[in-house]
Amino acid sequence: MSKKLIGAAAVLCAAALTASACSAPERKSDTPSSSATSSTSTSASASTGGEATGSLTVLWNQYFYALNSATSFGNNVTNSLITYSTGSAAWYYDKDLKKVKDESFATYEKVSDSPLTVKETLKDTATWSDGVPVQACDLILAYGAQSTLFNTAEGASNEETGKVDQKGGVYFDSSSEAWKLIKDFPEVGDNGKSVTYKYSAPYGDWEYALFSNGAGLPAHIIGKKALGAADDQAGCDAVTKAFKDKDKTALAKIADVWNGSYNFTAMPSDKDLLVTNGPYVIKDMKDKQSLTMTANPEYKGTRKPKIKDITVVYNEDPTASAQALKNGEVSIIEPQATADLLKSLQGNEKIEVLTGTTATYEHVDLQMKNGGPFDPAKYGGDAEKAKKVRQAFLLTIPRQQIVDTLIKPLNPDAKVRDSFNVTPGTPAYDATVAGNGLSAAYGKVDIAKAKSLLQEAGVSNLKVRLLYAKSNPRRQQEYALIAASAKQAGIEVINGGDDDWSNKLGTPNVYDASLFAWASNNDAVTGAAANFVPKGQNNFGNYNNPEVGKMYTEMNSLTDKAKQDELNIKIEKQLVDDAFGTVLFQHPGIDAYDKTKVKNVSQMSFVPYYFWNVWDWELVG
Amino acid sequence: MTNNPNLDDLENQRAQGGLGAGTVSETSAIDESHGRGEGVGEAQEVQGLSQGTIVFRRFVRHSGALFGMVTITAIALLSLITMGIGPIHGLWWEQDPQNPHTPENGSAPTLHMPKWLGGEGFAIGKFPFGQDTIGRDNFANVMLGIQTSLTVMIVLSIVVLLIGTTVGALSGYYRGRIDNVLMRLTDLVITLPVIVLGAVLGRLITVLPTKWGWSDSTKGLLDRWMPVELAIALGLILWTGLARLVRSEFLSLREREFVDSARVAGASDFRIITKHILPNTMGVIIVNVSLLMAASVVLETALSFLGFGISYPAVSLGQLISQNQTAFDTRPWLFWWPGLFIVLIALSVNFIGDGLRDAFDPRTKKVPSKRQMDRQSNRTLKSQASQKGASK
Amino acid sequence: MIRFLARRLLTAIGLLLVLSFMMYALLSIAMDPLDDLRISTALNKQDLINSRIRALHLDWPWYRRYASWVIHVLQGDFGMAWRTQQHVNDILPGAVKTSVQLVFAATVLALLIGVTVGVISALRQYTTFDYAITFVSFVLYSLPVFWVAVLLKQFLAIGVNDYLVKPHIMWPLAIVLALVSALFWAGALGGETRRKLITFAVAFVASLAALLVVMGTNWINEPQFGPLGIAVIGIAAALGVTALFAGMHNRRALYAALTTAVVGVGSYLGLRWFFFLYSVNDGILFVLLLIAIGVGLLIGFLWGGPDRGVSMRGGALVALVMSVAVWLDQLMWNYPDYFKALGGRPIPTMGTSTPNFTGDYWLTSLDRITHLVLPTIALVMISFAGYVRYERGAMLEVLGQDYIRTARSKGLPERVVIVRHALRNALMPLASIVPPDFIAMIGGAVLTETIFGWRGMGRMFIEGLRGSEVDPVMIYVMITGGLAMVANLLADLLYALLDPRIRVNA
Repeated sequence: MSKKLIGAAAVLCAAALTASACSAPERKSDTPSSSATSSTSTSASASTGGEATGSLTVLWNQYFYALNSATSFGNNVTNSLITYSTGSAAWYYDKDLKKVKDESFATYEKVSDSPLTVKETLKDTATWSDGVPVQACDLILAYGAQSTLFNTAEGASNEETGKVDQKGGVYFDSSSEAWKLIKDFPEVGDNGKSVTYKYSAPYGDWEYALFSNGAGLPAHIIGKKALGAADDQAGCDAVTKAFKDKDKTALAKIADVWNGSYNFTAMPSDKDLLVTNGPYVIKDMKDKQSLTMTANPEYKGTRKPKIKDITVVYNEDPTASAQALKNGEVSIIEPQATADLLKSLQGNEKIEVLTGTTATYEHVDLQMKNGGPFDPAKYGGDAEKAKKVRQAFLLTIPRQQIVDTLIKPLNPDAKVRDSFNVTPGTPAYDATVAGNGLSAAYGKVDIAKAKSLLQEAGVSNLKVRLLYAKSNPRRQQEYALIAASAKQAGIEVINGGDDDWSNKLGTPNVYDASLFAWASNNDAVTGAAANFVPKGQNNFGNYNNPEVGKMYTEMNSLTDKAKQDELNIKIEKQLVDDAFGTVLFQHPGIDAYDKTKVKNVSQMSFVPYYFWNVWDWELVG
Repeated sequence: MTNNPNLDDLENQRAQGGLGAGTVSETSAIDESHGRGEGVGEAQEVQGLSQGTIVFRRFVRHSGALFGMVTITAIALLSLITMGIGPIHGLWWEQDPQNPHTPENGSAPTLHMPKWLGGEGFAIGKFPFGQDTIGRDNFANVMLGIQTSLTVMIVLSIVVLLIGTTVGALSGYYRGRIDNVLMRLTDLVITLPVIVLGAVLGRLITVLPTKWGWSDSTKGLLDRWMPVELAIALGLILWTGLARLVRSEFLSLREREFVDSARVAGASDFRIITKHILPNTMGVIIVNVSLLMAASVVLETALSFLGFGISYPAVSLGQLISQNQTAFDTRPWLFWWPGLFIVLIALSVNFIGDGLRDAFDPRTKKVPSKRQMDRQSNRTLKSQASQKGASK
Repeated sequence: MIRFLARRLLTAIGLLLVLSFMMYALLSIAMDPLDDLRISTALNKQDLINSRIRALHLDWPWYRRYASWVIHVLQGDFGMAWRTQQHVNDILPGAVKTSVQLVFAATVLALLIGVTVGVISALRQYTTFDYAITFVSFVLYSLPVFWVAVLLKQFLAIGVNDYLVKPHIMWPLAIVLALVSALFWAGALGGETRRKLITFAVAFVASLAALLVVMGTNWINEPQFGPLGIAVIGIAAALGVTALFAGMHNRRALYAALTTAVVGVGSYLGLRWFFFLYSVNDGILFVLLLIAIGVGLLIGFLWGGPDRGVSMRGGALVALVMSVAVWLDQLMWNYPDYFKALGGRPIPTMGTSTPNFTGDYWLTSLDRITHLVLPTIALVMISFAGYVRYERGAMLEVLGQDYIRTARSKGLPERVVIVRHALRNALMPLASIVPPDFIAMIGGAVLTETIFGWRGMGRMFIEGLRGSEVDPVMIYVMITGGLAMVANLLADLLYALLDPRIRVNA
């Protein structure tokens, strides 16, 4: 009985199998039901006729979270990359750090030197992605929001306005020194297509200001959202009017939208918030994982993109991003540079690696007001003695060795940076280095000279507490190299590595020298003043030379780049003479891309890094 | 541990629940050996031995545990002999792991395998484990990292032992309100993922000294003793499991006759806890702590990897790996050596813990193979026969 | 019972309050929200600092901030991850979902594999097999996850993807794998030397053949079970389930299982057309699964036999296995499309899904699964070891109990003793460790999430802590703390439910 049953089962099985052989549906590889598209699809073949096609996936380390990168919170590199790609400005830096004017968006000219007056004219090709032209109201919005002149609420730094009830006040969470000085309301002309700004005080870096504030947000959308304007033009006009009349109720509403509405990590339900005026527009966002931009159909400018969709995925781990690139998941990465990562990427034949520098540079500052070895107070006010001690210490810092062992492996072209203020590679660098005397003074480690200087000063057993970020391996290594070299001159460098170092910079008593980095994302000259003028907000070492302060005041009144550069050389010379500190190197940067997938990728030292020519990228094959 | 009547009491009790083992009387052992073969040999082995000796013998018989003991001793010795401890210098010529050197052999390890292992002749060379980016000696760093791991392990287990046993003993012995309060405290600590508190405490260690304005030398000391501080901090979180275990042991032991008799004899609470009950919980405690030690090695490396654990100038294996993560396909030695030692240490301690558990627990014992069983029963039959013969 | 619950819950709430106070105090000392601004080169640095002090109320003492935090949380406002201006209320659901997705599959797998291996290891106590399992589980337990993750990515993702470009037979690998599998089966099934040798040989040949088919034919790029494969799986499942839970002598149970398998093969063909013609989703598939199990139960009921329950359970189990097999087959059927869409590199190293990837249920499921592969392996490797050790211990303990001896001495077959008497009791203690474990994983998968780029709870916590954002960190602590308490409570209740000896005391 049982055998029969099993037999029956077997027959049934067999029958089922034969039946299936004739009746099962075929593999549906060719059926239309599969609608899969891919991040790195090969649909790129035909890039004829200038129409953008295909798609590309690139990687960045932090996720995008704000389309308004002018607020204090939104002001972050990762947002700038996207706002740069989706926005337009009157000029941008190219990879040689030269300014390239985008005259399909706007032109500008200096109308007069005193008072400094600048006129910006928008072109007809400047269009928002909803088809509305870019107009003066958009520039007025950028000016109004960032000048802080319209803020009335508590926390606003405007000294003229008193303390106002926080809730009812106007508070734009943005500020820019460049706009603060334009106290008169800008003049709108050319049928709403041009704006003339008049500075109330001389301002050296006016040109830079126009760059960082070129695009901004669409006033007509904000007008509609904040003020309930009926149509685009009404929205635009309402915003201008609100600023012009200092209408507090309206401005408070505008400020709310400005501060709050543009922060998102997933697609906002209101698509109007995504209206921008650059080559790309945001198309999709997956919560903190990826963001996709697509070519802006309304874009009429000269920076026409060649790739239709660009997806940015986010991962902060350098190994993970390198492995993702090797695995073909992404096509461009800019991982935090280490020698091993570089070597491992270079070992892969389909990957092209670009080495170069980033905008940050490493430097050593000396603390001169803590009663320590570099403070004249320690030697009874003998400034000369303190200076000799400072010089002795600076002479032992193995700048070339640090670059050779730590940076060269990452960037074969790396050089010691020999200027306090000018980024290597910018047009003014060579002249500055020739003039400031930094390389002549500290170009080589000179133990003998250091020893004799110490002897002259009558100092023995010199102990220097060096403050740096403890959890940063490169700084640890720099410390190790500096300590080893200084030891030869009889200087003991005490390990002041500390995770809380930024907090301690302002506490002179806990360190004698500090090792950290400044970031400089432009070739503007006035910004560095805060590092050197007496009581400057970034003058942590309490360097006090009124002469330098005077020179920086003079700097502000110069609006000509050549003259500014000349004065800067004088300032740097003074810094070297006073043994203010020393500069080590420009941080190395690595970009790597999959050359089987994309071409025309190049490196740039300033923000927006490799995105600087996003419109030039082209798919391969 | 000495042979102690209370312990026998416990063992007998356990023996009733589990398989017959422990110090059972000779006759019953023989009877049992007739009955079912299980436990044959066991009874004879432990005849007339103290508990400590039994545990030791069982432990030594556990080959995994023995392997663990040997390995960890070897690793500890290697690290101590080469690097010394604290101010005492070891034999390794390169004492300062922070000191950069000129690269040799392209920074690759100078350690070569002997010829019979397919190498090019055995050689240690100047930098057996290679050098890092700026030429620091990887061997010295790894050896120091081992010391860190071991320190963390030992200090942590002491802290856990102290807190866990005290809390568990008090709440198990006194019950009532004390128990309630202590157990709520345990609940509080247990609810937090270790990594959270570890991270926050790690951050506090770096922030507080500045806040309280301690002098540089104090801070330098703090930095140097980072592993110990981290271990104490971790110990302050990890004692909860032990406390619960000890408590439940105490809850059941305090009801037993030997405790009653001690109490009647006028022993103080302190004496009852420390002399009568605690020795009976030693097995549970030792096993639990040893497993915790193994977990702590991995935990410390994980914290250091996230950047909340041990940081420069102290060296830890996890920190070495996280720093050299990107080096894994270009300079693999920077990645593999610390990893290898983490695995070896954790593995050894795990095996030791396993061996201890087996040794302390009379229920888990080696089941003899059929052949052994036959041989054993023959022997017992014979001895019975000879005994009978002798008595005649 | 209700009083017990109420008391536990009240205590839990009290504890949470104390916890939040302590944590807030600690965090306010440990965090420095202004650290990045101090070294800012921005010209408007002072404005930025003022603005932040204003936004975060840094001018208030910390206890005032704590009070305000409590009030807001009680009103359902969890605050702000201020660096990116994201409301915690918006981040939280996504983070929780991601974490659960990540941890669920891993826990289930680790539990299944770990418990099975643990039980076998206990049954073969002190054999070479047992030692080998002990060794492997200890090694896995000792591996730092971040270390393993790098290796997994290199070999399992990049390596396999490179291999898939041009699949070929790798003899050494195939032979080593076949050897390992043969050793495993020989050790696991055990028996006399002769039986072991036979098992070894059969397993070796079978594994090698399977590997050669996978590597040598185009199977790896166009995988499927096909009707034949499904039939083999069904019959094997039927035989296996019967042998384990009923015994081959229970003919009725055997027929029930076999019938279910046959019905399964038949419906597979129908389902293929169904899936081909209609698009499905998780809900529909779940209903289908329920129907399948119902059919299995029905078949068992109809066959009846001496123990109707056994037949029904057997039928249901076979139906479950068949359903999973059919589901897998359908996924494989769609795999070539997915493979093509991803440009021939199907195994990703990071993220939860391929950006901009769209497709029907099967393709998106494949995408989800491929993204889960590496992190799941990493997590399984860690928790697997724990479960093996735990279950081995529990099983050994149960096997040493008197009632097992009694059962054996009654002359019950070993299968019945182990499956019916021992296994059930050995599984019970799992109820008290799985819930807390699961919760701990949700909060504790920080490293795994970081390395594989998953944005779950752990990432939210770490980012918050690094960025000095107190609100997300606090919510994380509250949720993991609260869940841990709930899990412990659940474990106690479950245990009381399963073990009649334990009473829940009010």
